[in-house]
Amino acid sequence: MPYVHTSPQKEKIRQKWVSYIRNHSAGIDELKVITLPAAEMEDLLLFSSEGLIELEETETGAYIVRRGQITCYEKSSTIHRQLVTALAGATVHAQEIGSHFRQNYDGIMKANGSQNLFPTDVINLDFDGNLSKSSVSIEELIKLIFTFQGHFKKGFSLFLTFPQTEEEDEAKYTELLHSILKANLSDTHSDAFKKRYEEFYAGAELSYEQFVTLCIAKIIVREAATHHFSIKENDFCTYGKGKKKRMCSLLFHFEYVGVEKGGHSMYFDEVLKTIRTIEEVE
Amino acid sequence: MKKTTTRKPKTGNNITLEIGKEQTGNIKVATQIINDLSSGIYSSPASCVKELVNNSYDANAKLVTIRIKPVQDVITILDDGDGMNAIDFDNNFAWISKSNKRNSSEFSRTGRPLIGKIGIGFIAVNEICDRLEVSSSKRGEAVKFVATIDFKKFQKESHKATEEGIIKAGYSLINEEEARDAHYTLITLVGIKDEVKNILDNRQYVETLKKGRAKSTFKNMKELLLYSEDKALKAFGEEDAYLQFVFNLASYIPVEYIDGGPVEGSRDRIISDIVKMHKGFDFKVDLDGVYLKKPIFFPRNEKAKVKTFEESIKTSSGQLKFKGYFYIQDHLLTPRELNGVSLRIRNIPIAIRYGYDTSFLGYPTYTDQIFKNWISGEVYVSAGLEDAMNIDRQSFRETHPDYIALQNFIHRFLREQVFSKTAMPIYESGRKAREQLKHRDTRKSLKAVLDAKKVSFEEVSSASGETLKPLSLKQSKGNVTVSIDKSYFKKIKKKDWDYLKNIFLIFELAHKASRGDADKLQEVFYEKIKTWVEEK
Repeated sequence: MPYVHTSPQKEKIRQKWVSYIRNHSAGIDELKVITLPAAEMEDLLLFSSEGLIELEETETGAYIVRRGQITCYEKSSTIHRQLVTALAGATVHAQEIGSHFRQNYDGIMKANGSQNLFPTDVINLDFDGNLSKSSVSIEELIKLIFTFQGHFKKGFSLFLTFPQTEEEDEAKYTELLHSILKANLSDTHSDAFKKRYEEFYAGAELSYEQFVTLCIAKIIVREAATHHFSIKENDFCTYGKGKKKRMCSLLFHFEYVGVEKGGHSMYFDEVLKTIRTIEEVE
Repeated sequence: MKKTTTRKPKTGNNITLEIGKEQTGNIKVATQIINDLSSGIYSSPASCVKELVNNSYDANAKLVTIRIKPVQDVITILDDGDGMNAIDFDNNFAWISKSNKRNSSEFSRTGRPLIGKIGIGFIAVNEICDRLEVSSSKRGEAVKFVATIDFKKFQKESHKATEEGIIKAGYSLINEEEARDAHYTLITLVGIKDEVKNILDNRQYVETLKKGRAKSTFKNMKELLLYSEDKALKAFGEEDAYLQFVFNLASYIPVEYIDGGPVEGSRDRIISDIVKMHKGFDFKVDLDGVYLKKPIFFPRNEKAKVKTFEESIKTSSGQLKFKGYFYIQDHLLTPRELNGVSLRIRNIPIAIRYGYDTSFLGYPTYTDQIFKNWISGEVYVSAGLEDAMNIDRQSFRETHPDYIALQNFIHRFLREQVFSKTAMPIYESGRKAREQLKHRDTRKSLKAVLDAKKVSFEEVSSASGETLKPLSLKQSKGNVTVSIDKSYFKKIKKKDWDYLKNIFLIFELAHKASRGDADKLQEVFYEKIKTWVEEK
């Protein structure tokens, strides 16, 4: 079914994004945002109406960025061209975000200046397509994000929204997620996790939706811990009923804590939270 | 049955439309001369970008979108024109000076006079960036190509010379599937050179605006021009580098005039034709949210005049056809870059900056100098003159019969129609007003100096044997009558007399007030001089 970029539930998710940014952007004058805005640019327009960035409508109907530093990714050439026409003063890449990060790894790591891509304040991965079909896996993408952000030792907000696509998911993707869960359950450091997991599910099978949500959240939290970030705030949400596509939305704000304060305990606690605190957004 | 084989077109670099296969090629220039030109003539970012915009125009684009993000090292130019496939790309641009654009027709599919001639413009961007990415899909084809052109490798003095020409850049290209109804060209300039970034970085300009106005920037070209006027700038050249770029670029592309331009309120048929012609091209350029328009706008001015012309002249090289106008006002014309005449071939000006020849095709400098500073003109050439154009598209061969014919016409028109019949009457009517104003100011300052309600002048002649002073004063009930000896002021230049007269008056006044006291005389004299200077 076609993806609908807006719905009452999605609006609530967007308001959560605003709330996260507002809570954690005190003192930031030029908010840096990396996003997948699609042609409608709903998130950017909302951020502007909430005063987080400033977009000004121009003579030609395009919006120009007056305050904030915006970088967009769009792999569809048609939508990319629409974005170039609709948005000025921003950088719009005609490329999948993971591919761009991978190809420009060295440049991003060596960059030095406030106008560079990283460190960012917000990264909004609002996928409307099947995550499993990306040329760069979600695991690698998340790893790259934390590598870059960790290199610059700066906290940020990460929002990840994706559709549940059980029927179309690539086998390679599902196998990856299974291996993540299996590794976690068989990790000798994770007895506490294993115990809680078994308590919670009491032998019942995870639904595919729960499984994917759990595994992707685990990837994020694992990379956060590995790169010395702690979670200041998070929400896990699902929505979409009846004819609407089932969606999952994970929201985090990370703080860079350095070598000493990170570690396994934070990681396991946060992952456990995942399986208990998924909010169904009505 | 005999099998018909369709020969696949072969390009210089053997490029094909095969999907998914990476192909490589070189962009060559045919001769050393072209190589030198392509390196030297595009001296500003505007002159480079305008070539790409004019290519879009030739490709029947209705909208060109330019996005500048130089701080992040990228300029994007997207058009909705007919596009090209990989073979077209290689044929048109991989061998500079062998452009196919004019081979088949002088006009585009939609009837626009084609601008590009030898393809040199496309390679001009190598002056401002290290790499060019081109993606294009041709109208009616379900394929696009994505090419990356690397200039940096070849930006050394000893360009690689081959038997076929000098290699200006190398490129790699890949064909991909695309929607059949898609047609566009997307050009991304990457690795913008630092000096270019400084020009295109508008942050300083935006900061300046934020300090002075409620709005954060101009909304359209008209506002931009009026903003320049508000700042009382006399020239585009005094503006911020970014705004100079905007004006320069807008001067060289076939976009419409600013609303109301070029002459506000003009109902002249020729000017209306020119304006309508540009609207008819249906060609818009969006530069970061502003539609670029020709920065030629002379606001309504009751004292200004417009003289238009339309001519067809037979020359030894054929028929020269042109039309245009001169706008004449009663004071210094600003911005100064528009003070001149813009010769347009295929609607594009042939000149160095902002499109105007400030010498008026070499009009003698010793004559009509005052009036020349008041006028601006445009000439649209519809036939002829093109062969007179030098390869740099910025100047003409002045010995070409078409150029000479046009020059003779323009000079005669200026002399007979513009300067004597139009500018001189404007000057004369202006002069009376200026003199009255000067007179009024002089009287006002004199009233203050003489401490009088009214000052009147009379000329007197000395009777034989009697020697009068240059002037004398009679004061009565707050009114002062100044009697001036005619014989004095006739010997003195008018300009000098205007000053001397006042000094004599002040002396007479001081003398009267001093009652023979020399010190008092000196004191009052200098006091009155000071009052006079302050009033002036």
